[in-house]
Amino acid sequence: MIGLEISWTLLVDLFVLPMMFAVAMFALLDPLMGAWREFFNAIREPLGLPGVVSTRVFEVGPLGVAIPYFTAGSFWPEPRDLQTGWLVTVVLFAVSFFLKDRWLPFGYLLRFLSAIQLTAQLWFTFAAPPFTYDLASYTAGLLICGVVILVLSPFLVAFTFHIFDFLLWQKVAMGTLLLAHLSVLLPLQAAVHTWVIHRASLLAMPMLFLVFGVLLDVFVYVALYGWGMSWRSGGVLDAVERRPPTMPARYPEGRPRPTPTPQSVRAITPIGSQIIRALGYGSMLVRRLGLGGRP
Amino acid sequence: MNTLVAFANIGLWVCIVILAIYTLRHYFFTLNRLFGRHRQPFVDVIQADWPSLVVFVPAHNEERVIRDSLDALLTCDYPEDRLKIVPVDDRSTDDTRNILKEYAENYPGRIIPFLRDEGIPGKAAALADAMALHQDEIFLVFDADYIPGERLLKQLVAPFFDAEVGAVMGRVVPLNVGLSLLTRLLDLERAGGYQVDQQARMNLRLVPQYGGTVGGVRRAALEHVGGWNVDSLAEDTDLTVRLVIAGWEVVYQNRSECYEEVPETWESRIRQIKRWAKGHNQALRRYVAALLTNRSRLPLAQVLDGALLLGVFVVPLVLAVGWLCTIILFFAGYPPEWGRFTVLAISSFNTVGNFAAFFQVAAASRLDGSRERIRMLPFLFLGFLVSTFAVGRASLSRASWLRGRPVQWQKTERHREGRANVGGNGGRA
Amino acid sequence: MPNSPGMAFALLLLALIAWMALPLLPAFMELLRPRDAAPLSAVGNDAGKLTYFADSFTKRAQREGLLGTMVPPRLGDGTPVLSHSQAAPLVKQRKPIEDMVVLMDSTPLPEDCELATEVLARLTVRGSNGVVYRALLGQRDVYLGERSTVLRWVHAKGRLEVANNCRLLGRATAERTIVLGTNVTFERLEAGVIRVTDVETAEAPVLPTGAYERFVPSYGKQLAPAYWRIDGGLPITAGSAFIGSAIATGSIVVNDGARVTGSLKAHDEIIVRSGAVVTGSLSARKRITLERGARVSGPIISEEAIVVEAVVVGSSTKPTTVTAPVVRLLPGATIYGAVMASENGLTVA
Repeated sequence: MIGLEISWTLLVDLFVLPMMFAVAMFALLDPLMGAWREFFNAIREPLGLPGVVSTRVFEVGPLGVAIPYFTAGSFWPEPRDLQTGWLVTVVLFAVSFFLKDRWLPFGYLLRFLSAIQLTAQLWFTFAAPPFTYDLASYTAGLLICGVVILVLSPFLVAFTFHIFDFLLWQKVAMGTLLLAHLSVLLPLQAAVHTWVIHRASLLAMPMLFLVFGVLLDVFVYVALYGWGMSWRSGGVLDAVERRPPTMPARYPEGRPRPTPTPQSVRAITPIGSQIIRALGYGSMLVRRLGLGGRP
Repeated sequence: MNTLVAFANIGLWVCIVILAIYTLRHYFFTLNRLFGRHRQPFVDVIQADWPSLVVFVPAHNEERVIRDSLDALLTCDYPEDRLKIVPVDDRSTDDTRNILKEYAENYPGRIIPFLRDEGIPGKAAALADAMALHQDEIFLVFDADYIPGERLLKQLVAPFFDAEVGAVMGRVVPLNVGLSLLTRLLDLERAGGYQVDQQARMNLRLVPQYGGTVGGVRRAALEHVGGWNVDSLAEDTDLTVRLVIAGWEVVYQNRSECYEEVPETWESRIRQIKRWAKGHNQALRRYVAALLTNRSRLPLAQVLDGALLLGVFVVPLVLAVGWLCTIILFFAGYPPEWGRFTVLAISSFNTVGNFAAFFQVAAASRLDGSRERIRMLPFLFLGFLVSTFAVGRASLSRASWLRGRPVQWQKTERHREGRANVGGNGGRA
Repeated sequence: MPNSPGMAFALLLLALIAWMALPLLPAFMELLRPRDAAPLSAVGNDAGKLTYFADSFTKRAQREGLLGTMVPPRLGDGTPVLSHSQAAPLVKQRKPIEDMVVLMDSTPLPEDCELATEVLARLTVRGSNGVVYRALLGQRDVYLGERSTVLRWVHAKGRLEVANNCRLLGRATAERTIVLGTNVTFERLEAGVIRVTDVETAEAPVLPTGAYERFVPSYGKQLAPAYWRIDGGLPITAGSAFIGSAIATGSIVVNDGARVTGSLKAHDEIIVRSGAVVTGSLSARKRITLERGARVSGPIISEEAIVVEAVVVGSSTKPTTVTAPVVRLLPGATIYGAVMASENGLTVA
């Protein structure tokens, strides 16, 4: 059966390569945070976000990472916001029932989203201000979480991708692509979250945090991973090419159909057919006793 | 509120631990499948004094597919004098019964239909009644939409030369892969489940599962464990666990492949997964205590794997509870840290049925030599979402947990179009 | 610059969606324009049929006219065909012979030559020493000289005789008999009967079970009539008859002259001693040893190794299979059916 071998290069790919990526990421964190800060500064005014772009230092052992974030605030939802939220929730839920057949999974997705939003609606309807989170610390927290994912994701890549017999450049490419993608995705994500929560009130925060935060980042990794796993590696696993070029017939075309028992034999009474079966057993017995040649 | 927060926090930890156990289990299986030594001791048994064999084909309203199945069985290379084919018709309302009678007439002594008009409904009960009439050594079961290859019967019987083997399971390969997003996702799920999961469990001498079709059982073992449970919704899981508890071995043969039709619509997929969930949970309720008390002194690894196998349809509920706890903690001001949240997020890309993680599915496809279909991986989330809702509803139903519920014959809808009529009774060749 | 915050947000959102969509592009492309949506081809035609390649080659040979009076100079695909006969023998060359070779008579090939394409032998093959065959189809008997190597398969329509120190990689099959010398490496063998050195091994006599003293395990659990599960080892007393099948979590020893009418499974090893008869299968997680003079109906399945001394396995009417990762056959070993060594098979002196 096809399989892979444990080798020194594999162990290097599993442990050394992700360490190198993590170290490189650490080294690049300052310039990256600088780039994020520049980006936030550039878009804050066009987005109409009040406040400034501040910095929170996130301690990782002896190192401190200066995470930029918007200081814009948000507010407890007004009655009109709540009503709009209820409307959105109900519409999402109702529309989900119209999505049938091949659209059914999207119907379930809408139901899932409406269920999450429902929890927010209920909370803000029955609870009283202030909300536990303010927008600024939420944004900072989101980006801190993102930085942790950035530093640790090479290990996820190592243990899920590097174990296969891809070439070194492919393994490096997968890690690089993921880190590069996340490096751009995270500030975009944070900016979108900030704007939506700032404009739509804190009512939007639960949904964004629970569904459009880490889950989205994992979704991106799974998509990249799926693409990467489809690459040719030139290795052992590529040697297996078992798919036929076209869809086979339901019953294989080259396989003959059985031949019915001849009418003459079928015409024999059930007792007769039993006699024939018994004769068959008898001849088999003769062969077993070695009185006949090999069949 | 503090109490609620405490419970939610503990609840979330419990969920994370369970999810982590399953994720690590599947990671370990993937590593074993990629790097471990593969156990397939029976695959090379090509010559033998083949034992007497009965192949049962449960059929309920299978007029669209039954002919192909019977033709395939008739042209298998198993010794004709050692083989009987018994289609089991249980109150079909379409033309199935007439087709079976026609085959019985054309192939007397080889095809012996069992026509059932009374008794407890359901596949398990029908098989129990049919098997009671036969004293042959080995029973194999194929669903009516399966088209076994010429050598498949010998391949599936070969493991029974090992006296300890009580049941055998082959690999099910979807035939109607390219029809829709659903069929493609199910193809990925099957690959992950068989190529990696089942084979790893075979390699590690854990608990490969007998899946009720493309597989079979030794009559002596079946009788030893009390026969089929006629009120079981998942008679295959039920039998697997009873055999393991009684000390029999269940063997998986990766190379014994047979095509099947996977559900082509989401509705039929939901029905299928609900059926499996109810049956699995029923088996969990019935046997987990017996398994864990381990009076048969099974190896610990087998006991643990058996318990995890039984719990596999509870895990989507665990994930849902994990999400609920996360929501509670969020609103209470204690958002879960990124680690726990990431485990939840990753687990949402698993398949349901064996809870195979996305990397397991990818590894399986790679091992099959199918590269490009792995790109479909992100869509697993959609399949997972639908299945989780379905499993949740099934798990909350009474059938999962209460005894003695009446069982209906449940099967996947067939979509294969009718065969071309190639002529009269004598003209088929 | 966008005119309003709304416009700016729309652009930002668009950028986010576009960036998110990038990794999803391959998934959507595969969904919309499938390149890999065909079912796996289920196990191929050759599963369980060791002569698959030989049969395919035979059909090809018939199609290409290689079995006729005149051998064509080329095949349909342009592959050159060389004939070898007494009148026109092949000349020894250093490089492998890439053309297809047809042996027109029994003239031996040059020693130590290498044949990189299939070889068809129309009459009996008398192989020279050290010849390397990629694949060889013999229409009659095949005699491989010492130190010969077969890389993929060899099939003889009559008898296949393999001299000492040969290597049979892949499949070696014969319709009648395979006779192996010593120090022959093999992987998969199948024939009417397979012998190591051409010595007929006397089959242990099988007396009626009534002639033996009955052996009943004094401990263990009975799972079914004549079906036992033993915790620990199971030594079957010499000269006794055990009627039934047994599973032992330790080793099983079938002592001299004992008889077992059933199958045995051991979690450890199985030893069948001299003169013992097992009319069933043997299966073990560890090694199976069949000592000289024993007789086993088979199949014999080990997950570690099988050693077959001068033993008869199977019979002409009930061929069987001996399969293990490692198989050792000693002189006098006689197997009716197939021997499969997934890692290493060897005949030892």
